[in-house]
Amino acid sequence: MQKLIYSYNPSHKMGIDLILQNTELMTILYAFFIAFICAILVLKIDRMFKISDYQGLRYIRNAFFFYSLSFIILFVLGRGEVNASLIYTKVIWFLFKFLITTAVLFLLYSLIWKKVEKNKSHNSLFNLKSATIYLIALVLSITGTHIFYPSQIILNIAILSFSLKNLINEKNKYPFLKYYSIAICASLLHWTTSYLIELGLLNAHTAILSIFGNLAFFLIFLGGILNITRNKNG
Amino acid sequence: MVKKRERLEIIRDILQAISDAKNIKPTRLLYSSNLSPQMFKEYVGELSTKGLIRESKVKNNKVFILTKKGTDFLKSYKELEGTIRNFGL
Repeated sequence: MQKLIYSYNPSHKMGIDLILQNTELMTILYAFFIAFICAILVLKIDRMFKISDYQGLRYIRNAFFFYSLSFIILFVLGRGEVNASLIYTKVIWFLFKFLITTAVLFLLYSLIWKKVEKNKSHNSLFNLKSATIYLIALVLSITGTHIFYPSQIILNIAILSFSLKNLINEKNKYPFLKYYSIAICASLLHWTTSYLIELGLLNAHTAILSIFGNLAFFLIFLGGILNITRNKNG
Repeated sequence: MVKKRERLEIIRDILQAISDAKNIKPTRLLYSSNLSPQMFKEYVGELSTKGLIRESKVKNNKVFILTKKGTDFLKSYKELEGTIRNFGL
């Protein structure tokens, strides 16, 4: 994704010259917009968690917390990347990969925690399960393109399969379950497009697809939580 | 077969019983909650520790009353349940 954003050549094809001529500004706005969406999700879910102490809420809150951090790290701290040293670039890219993988793993865990957990832990960021998540994220973040991107695709497919299972089990009883699966499909589009561009199989202009996929993922979750908290009846 | 209540539903039922009665004696709450005495003790202990309910005395009898946090929980229950179910948590 890092390469996508920065190597995205704002040439002639699109009629959005203003945006393309201000790539750096747009990149920062994009990061802040996603971080802002995540902040709303984290705050709303955290408020519900504090009232209910329900573990699933805790894990999905952590997921969006790490998503938020990953985008801030990559697009705000990493924005001077073109002139930055190679080590700085590598550190930023490593942190981004670590944080986003942690986020995806927490999102996956929020769907399966009931099957896994026997005892309740008091701190969701520092315990054995979280340590396992950090360790997996660490291993994946030091891998190269050919492991990192496919791993994200596989993790998203796993999340999609659990969300589809929930959708089938609940038989359309809860409307957002359908949108949850659509959001994960958008995330899959984002990661697949990014990987194909990395491999040189897609034109760099298709980076816009990846960006839209990513935005759709966060916007669907935001819409879901706002709708539920507004209606108060799910 | 009757579906087993989930933890959050049990908590809602206990809090709702207290809310309906304003204050309620432990025995009456045990009947209303439809739990075994052991489970009831665990739930009531947990709810007291978390500050959702508290013990009080009415005419020298021990009763449970709802705290502000408990009232907030009941008010937010649908929102909570909606999020948990819709997000498949």
